[in-house]
Amino acid sequence: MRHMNALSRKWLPLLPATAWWAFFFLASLIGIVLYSFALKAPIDAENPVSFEILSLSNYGEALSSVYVHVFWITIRTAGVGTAICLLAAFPVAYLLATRIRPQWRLWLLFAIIFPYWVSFLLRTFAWRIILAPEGAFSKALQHLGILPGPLTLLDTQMAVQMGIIYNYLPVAILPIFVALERIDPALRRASADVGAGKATTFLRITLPLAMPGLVGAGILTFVLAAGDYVVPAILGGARGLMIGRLIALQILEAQNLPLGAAMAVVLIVALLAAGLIAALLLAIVRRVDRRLQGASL
Amino acid sequence: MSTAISVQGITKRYGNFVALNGVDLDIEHGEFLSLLGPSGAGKTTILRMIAGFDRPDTGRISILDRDIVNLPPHKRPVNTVFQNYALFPHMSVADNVAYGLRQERTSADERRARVREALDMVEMTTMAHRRPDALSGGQQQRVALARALVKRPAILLLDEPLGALDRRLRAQMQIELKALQRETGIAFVLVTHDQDEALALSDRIVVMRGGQIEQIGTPSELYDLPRSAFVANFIGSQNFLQGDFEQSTGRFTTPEGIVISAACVEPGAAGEALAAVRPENTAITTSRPEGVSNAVHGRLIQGLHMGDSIEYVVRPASGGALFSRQPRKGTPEMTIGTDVWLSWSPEETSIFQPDAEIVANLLKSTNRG
Ligand SMILES: Nc1ncnc2c1ncn2[C@@H]1O[C@H](COP(=O)(O)OP(=O)(O)OP(=O)(O)O)[C@@H](O)[C@H]1O
Ligand SMILES: [Mg+2]
Repeated sequence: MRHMNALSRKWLPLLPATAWWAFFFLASLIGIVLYSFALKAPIDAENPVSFEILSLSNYGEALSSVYVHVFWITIRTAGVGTAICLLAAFPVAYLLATRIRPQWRLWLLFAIIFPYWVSFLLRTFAWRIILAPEGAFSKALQHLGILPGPLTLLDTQMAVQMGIIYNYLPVAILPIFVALERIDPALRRASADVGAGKATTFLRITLPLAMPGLVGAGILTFVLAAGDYVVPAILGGARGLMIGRLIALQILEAQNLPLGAAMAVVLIVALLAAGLIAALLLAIVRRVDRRLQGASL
Repeated sequence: MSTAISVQGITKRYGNFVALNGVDLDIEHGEFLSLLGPSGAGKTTILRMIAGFDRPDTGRISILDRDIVNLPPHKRPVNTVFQNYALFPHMSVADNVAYGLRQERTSADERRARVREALDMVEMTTMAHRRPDALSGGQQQRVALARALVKRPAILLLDEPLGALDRRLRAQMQIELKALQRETGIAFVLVTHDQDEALALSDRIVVMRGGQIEQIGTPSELYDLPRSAFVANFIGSQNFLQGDFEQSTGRFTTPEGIVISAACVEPGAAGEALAAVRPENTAITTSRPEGVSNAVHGRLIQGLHMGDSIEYVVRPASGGALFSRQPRKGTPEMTIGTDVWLSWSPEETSIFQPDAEIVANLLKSTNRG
């Protein structure tokens, strides 16, 4: 009995967070899964969703070739966006954590976060102005002779890709910065001291120790980017598509909640699969590296 | 012995602040050298220059007559034991030690043999597979030593390596450090705040102050023949008397008219000066001793037990405090509050040029008394 008490006391502080998580996250997830097996109700019905017949038909539609293609584009756009965000974020975070004096760091971090003070919608809309074929940027490029004709990026998948990278770069910088800042600078000195050059020190000391931050930044960026529906809606036009926008269309406009739910479930599964593949690749790289390095003793 | 590393005329400024000012130092092969000095004296800065983490503004650092000032740290035959060990937290003990060897063209067999040898040397073989965070402070210290020694450097630099350890572990590690240094024949350069540590371990001690070297010598040279009041005060303890030194006659007279004779005089001492004698070189008696030239009369105000000895505190009429250390056995008990004589021979007495800090301390204690 006393044992139980100690145990419950230990876990009690976790209760509020767990309850919050269970209610808002788990409950909505279960709701989505349930909806995905239902059907869209007839127009005149009271409830837009009919649970009278449960079937897999929504999944049949969600996995039809048109949608599968969009899923693929989504994963690709989010994947490429994540990779570029991580590559671009790392040097920024590294300089911030190692070369900038502590008293300046907060200000620079603040400057990086600053665009987030403007609504996501407005920020993305601003890119329409930048990318507009008749806009100042396009004219300047033509004037400088870099472009032969007007900029044709707007309303393409490329514009969506750019918008995604722009929007999620700060999200990638923060976790990497935190991880890098926690690395004792003496470790880099110790590495140089026993004979490692700059590249080796980076690969063998800095990178592995920053890995938790990189993985965190990667997951965050990838999940947020893959679910994004604002960027494709604003910058993608007819040619720039991502699944988030199609899900939003089904739910908000076509009133087909069950199909939207099925697509959302497929997206979650696809994201998990992509994450698993990435984790597997990382594990293989590590194992091969260990093999090549050989035992120390 | 031959010189392992020669430091010549090193100067380093940080902005307007001069951290090192014309430092010359030859480190011999296989010696145990300590850098001793108050905080901010520039001890760490010298190590950073030798290891290559920082570059001097002027001066040379050479190995076998080759200037290495422009060589990056990873190309210098010098290794460091960092103050907080700086072990790689994501690697096992064995991987930490092997890391440096992987940077050389060492065969896998030789690498494993050397890692084992280094771990055996510091008695950490049984913990080879642990991560650093599963080790105690003393064990981490040993791994840091093994990681540096496995590289077989010409010189091992240690920046206050024992600072984080408790007293008993510290004493034990001191013995082990000395044994390791003998065993490997590698020159150790140890930075320490602790004069006892420096005296116990070192072949030579470098006393630093304000970015300059005050004196270099063996422990007994520094103890017996300090060249300045600063060194005399920094190593061991010392009684100082303020007074006037007449160079022509060799007479030192305190303001109260007490005349002190001394065998050692710092060159250049004249006029205002300090006379110094160590507490353990003084005698304490109830009547004025016969045939001893240096004697001060005062009141016995305290007797402090120091284990095997007693430290008597005597207050002369002029104020302040003088100390006399006597072995506990064979000294008659003295009564606190009585009048006594503190005496010592000229051979144990030195005359120094005045040192601002010491004079200020003397004035403070006189005013208090
Ligand atoms: N990067 C730097 N910028 C400015 N001043 C510095 C820098 N590094 C050292 N100093 C100054 O140089 C002086 C010598 O520093 P150093 O670290 O060598 O002292 P130390 O003898 O090792 O002292 P401690 O015993 O406290 O470790 C100090 O006054 C310090 O403030
Ligand atoms: Mg220091």
